[in-house]
Amino acid sequence: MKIQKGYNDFMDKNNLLQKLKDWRKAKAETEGVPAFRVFSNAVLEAIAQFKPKDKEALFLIKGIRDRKYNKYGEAILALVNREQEWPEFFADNFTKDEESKPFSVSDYLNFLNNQLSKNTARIQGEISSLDIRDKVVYFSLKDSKDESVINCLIWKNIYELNGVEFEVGMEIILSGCPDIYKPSGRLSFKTSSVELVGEGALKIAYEKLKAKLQKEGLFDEARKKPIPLYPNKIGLITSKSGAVIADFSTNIGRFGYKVSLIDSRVEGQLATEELLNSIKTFKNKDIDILVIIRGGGSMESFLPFNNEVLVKEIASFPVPVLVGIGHEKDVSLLALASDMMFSTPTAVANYLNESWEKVESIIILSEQKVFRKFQNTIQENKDYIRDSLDIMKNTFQKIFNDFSKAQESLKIGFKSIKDQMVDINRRIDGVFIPVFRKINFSISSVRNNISGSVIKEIFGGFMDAKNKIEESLISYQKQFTSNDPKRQLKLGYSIVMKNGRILKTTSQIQKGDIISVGLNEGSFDSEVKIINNK
Amino acid sequence: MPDKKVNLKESLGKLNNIVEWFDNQEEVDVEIGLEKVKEGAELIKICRKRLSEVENEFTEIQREIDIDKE
Repeated sequence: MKIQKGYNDFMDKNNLLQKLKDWRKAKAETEGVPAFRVFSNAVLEAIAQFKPKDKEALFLIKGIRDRKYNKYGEAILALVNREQEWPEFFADNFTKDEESKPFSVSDYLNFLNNQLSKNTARIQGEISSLDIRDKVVYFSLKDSKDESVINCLIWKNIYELNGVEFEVGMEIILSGCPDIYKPSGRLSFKTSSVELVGEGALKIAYEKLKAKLQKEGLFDEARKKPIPLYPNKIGLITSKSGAVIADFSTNIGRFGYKVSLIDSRVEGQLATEELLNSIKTFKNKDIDILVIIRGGGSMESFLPFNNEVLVKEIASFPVPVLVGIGHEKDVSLLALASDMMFSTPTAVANYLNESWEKVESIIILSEQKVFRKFQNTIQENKDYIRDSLDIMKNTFQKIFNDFSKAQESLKIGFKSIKDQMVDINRRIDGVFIPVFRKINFSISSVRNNISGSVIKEIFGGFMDAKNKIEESLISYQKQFTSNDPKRQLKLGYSIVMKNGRILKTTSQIQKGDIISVGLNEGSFDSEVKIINNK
Repeated sequence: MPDKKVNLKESLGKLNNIVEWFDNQEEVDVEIGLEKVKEGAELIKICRKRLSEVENEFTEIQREIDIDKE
């Protein structure tokens, strides 16, 4: 048996530890207190490891203070120091003849118990007597074939933890080792775990407990804790020597997990206590989630996972518990009570990775969203600014244009005013200059007249002018008389008119026109009949 | 272990808040937007850094026995 062998090796290696434990057990028994009240396992393990030889060294171990030292210090130091001597001590006793120093009864029983503790075994039989006490359950196991009997005992806490309710006649398998109770010299099989025999019995126990826990609501969906995203600190309970830990650690992604491992047996009834203590240990550790994994196996090997105490411990665990344990037919009750169960350790690892694997894409998405949106915003703002500038530019341009136009029209206005001015000027010049000239001229001529002659001369001139005018008048009269048309009419000429206009050429008339002909005396109208051009 | 760890969940939560803020904004105020973008960039950097810490740490711890508090 593999486990058996491993266990024995362990015991050999931890000989001192075992001795310390035995001592503790005896001490607890005589004092009537639980073993941990004497010393915790951690303390005993530390003692076994460091082997303190004196009080000073012993005080270095956490958990040992004055009170404990005064009570147990000497005994511990004696055990540690004797550890070194014992082999020779025993060698002496065995090799030498009768004359050698005899064992004391106590020493011999210690020696025997030390030897017996190495004979751990699983034994199967039927409960033939039963005496359940406060702290211990005494019973006897009978061979189903030849009536052989062995006295057995099991500590009450272990008994309760195992969850198998003893009944006389019940067939069970015990694990443990023989031990002689020193005060009575009686040999008992010290039971460390109990298993029910046969699938049938297991199945009944399983169904019974399942129904009970179900009724208590331990498997209710409502009480399951949500699994946190991005789990980092992982408490892991599994067997270090099993294959599943490799499955788990190779499949768990490289996301910087901090995995705290507690190596625990995961198979068989012996595992129950280890599992329970492992779970309790993690209760006080800073972890995000607890992972319990093991490979598949028979219902028998699943006993601890169908243990009421364990299941309740899981159900009330402060952080979410993921269970990855293979199973054949019946889901273990531990898995049912867990916050999430998986069929294999690999599935657990994959699940843990899930949220992590999404992180990268979440980051990329967020990055895109934030930056794009902001870029858009900036672009929008840029556009807005550009638009605003454009509007301003256009507005100003319009203003400038209007101004230019106004300027232009002003210019034109000014020009036309100027032109008008020039025009006016010109007109003024045109009007006034001749006037001025005339005035000038008149003035100068007057001046000339005044300066150039005396009044006589003026009169003389005047007379001359009068004469000249008279002469001119006569000549004008003559001319006028000779050119008077009436004189021509008198001479026999006539004036032909059409519509009051004197006709000079034939082109002025057409056939049928009525023309009037003026004679010296009177006139007549006539119709044009024939036009002779030239 | 120095407590320089990044709370990824918290950082991603903050980042998500920023994304939501942008999503919910009809018109983004440039000043506030810039602040948010700065914060977002910092968070992205932090998250990326956390993701780059790939190595897992395995520590074995001892099982405590009979540690009932009474």
